Amino acid sequence: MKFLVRPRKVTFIFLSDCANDCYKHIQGCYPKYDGPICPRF
Amino acid sequence: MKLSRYNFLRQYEDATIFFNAITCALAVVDENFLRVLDDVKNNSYDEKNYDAQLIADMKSSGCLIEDDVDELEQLEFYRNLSKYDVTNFGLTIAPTLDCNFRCKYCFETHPKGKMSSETQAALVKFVESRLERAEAFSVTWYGGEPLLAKEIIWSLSEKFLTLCKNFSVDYNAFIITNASLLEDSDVELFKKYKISGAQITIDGVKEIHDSRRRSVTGESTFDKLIDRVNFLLNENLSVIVRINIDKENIDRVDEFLDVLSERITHREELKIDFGQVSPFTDICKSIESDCYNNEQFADIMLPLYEKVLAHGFTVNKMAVYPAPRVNFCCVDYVNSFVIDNHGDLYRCWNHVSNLKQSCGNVNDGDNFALVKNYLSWIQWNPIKHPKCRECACLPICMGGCPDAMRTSNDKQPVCGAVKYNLDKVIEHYYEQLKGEILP
Repeated sequence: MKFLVRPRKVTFIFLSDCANDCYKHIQGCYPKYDGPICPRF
Repeated sequence: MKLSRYNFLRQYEDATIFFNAITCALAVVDENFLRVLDDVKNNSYDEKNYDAQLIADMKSSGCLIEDDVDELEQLEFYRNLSKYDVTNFGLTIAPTLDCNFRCKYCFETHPKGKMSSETQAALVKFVESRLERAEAFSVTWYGGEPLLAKEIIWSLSEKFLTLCKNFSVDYNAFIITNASLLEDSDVELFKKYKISGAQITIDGVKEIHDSRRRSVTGESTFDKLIDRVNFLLNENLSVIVRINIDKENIDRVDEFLDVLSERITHREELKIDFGQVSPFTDICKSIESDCYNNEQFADIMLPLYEKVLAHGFTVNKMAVYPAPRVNFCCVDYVNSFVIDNHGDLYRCWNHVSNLKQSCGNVNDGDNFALVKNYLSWIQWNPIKHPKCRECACLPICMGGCPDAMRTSNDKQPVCGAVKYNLDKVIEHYYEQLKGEILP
């Protein structure tokens, strides 16, 4: 099994943009609410 | 052991690709992996028969789960944990609803008036009462055009920073602005008041942008906005150029990306985001025929981002990669509010100035009643809907926009773009990343 994007641990860490972190070979995190941004705006 | 209900297996070229929607892991797999899958399905799984690292990877990627795990229950647990968490406090603040632009698709009216000093004082008290339990406080400055009331932004920011210091709370802010009123001297205040980035909408080449996002005075703003984007990037602030897409400007995106790559000095730092123009309210109903629905937008989104990457905007590499969600947006977090210049509180950005959707007012203090407009959003739960419970995309969609469901004819969840384009997205990222197998 060869990872292209690593799995995210289901630990809630205050961090945005974690897709980039997972891709950059770091075990990522599950995103927690980190700002009142509406994804549609 | 059993298999996750959120596993995806796809064949591209000669490769078998695995994706799991809970962990969002993406991997190239071989016959050993497929053998384990078959054995689990045939009830002949015996862990000692397989390579230990393979099994560890299959577990960490979410592919293999314990028999007594119910993933829907887990999702609901994490969703509640996040939803009722009060350690993060978020506000979207419109210090004015007035705007110096008249964008053809805007869903707001633009009444004159700014937040009064009384409402500002009440807002500061509201914030103070919530910071006692918080670890982090984030603000998005919003409008109207927030820079029409920049003195209020500075004044409130000063007070927020003092409160955060007193309560040992982390503070960060962001601004949604048309940037036409952004002066060089403002950037020092952005930094002082921890406004770390801005979303600036430019809808296409000069002719397109100026016709869609008209200034009140009728003057062209395109060149000024390009200059402001460069200015903020040079000052090391994060900038998202938002391109709102509909049938009117889709055909000229390439041309605009050519212009951006010529004129943006820090291309590698610029984030580009495509917005889906939607007739959010009756005010902008007239543009409905130009809008794409989610399914149509899903079709065009990936090719748009491929163009962005081809133009050298490399920071956008993972822009469309699915992310696990426990909530769709700020609507159902107990500690998130949208506030307009009158101090009226809302759950959703679309509802600003629509008093029928208001859930309170900061002038009434923090003890606002748990009214229907608050609780109905907090308790909105896509997992209750069969359509979402049965959907393998639930962990990366989480029911789509709750307000879109509210305004839909059948009152059913409105699936996000990922529901329609996941296969293409997986294929895209396999192509992008296949030369970068992780150690």
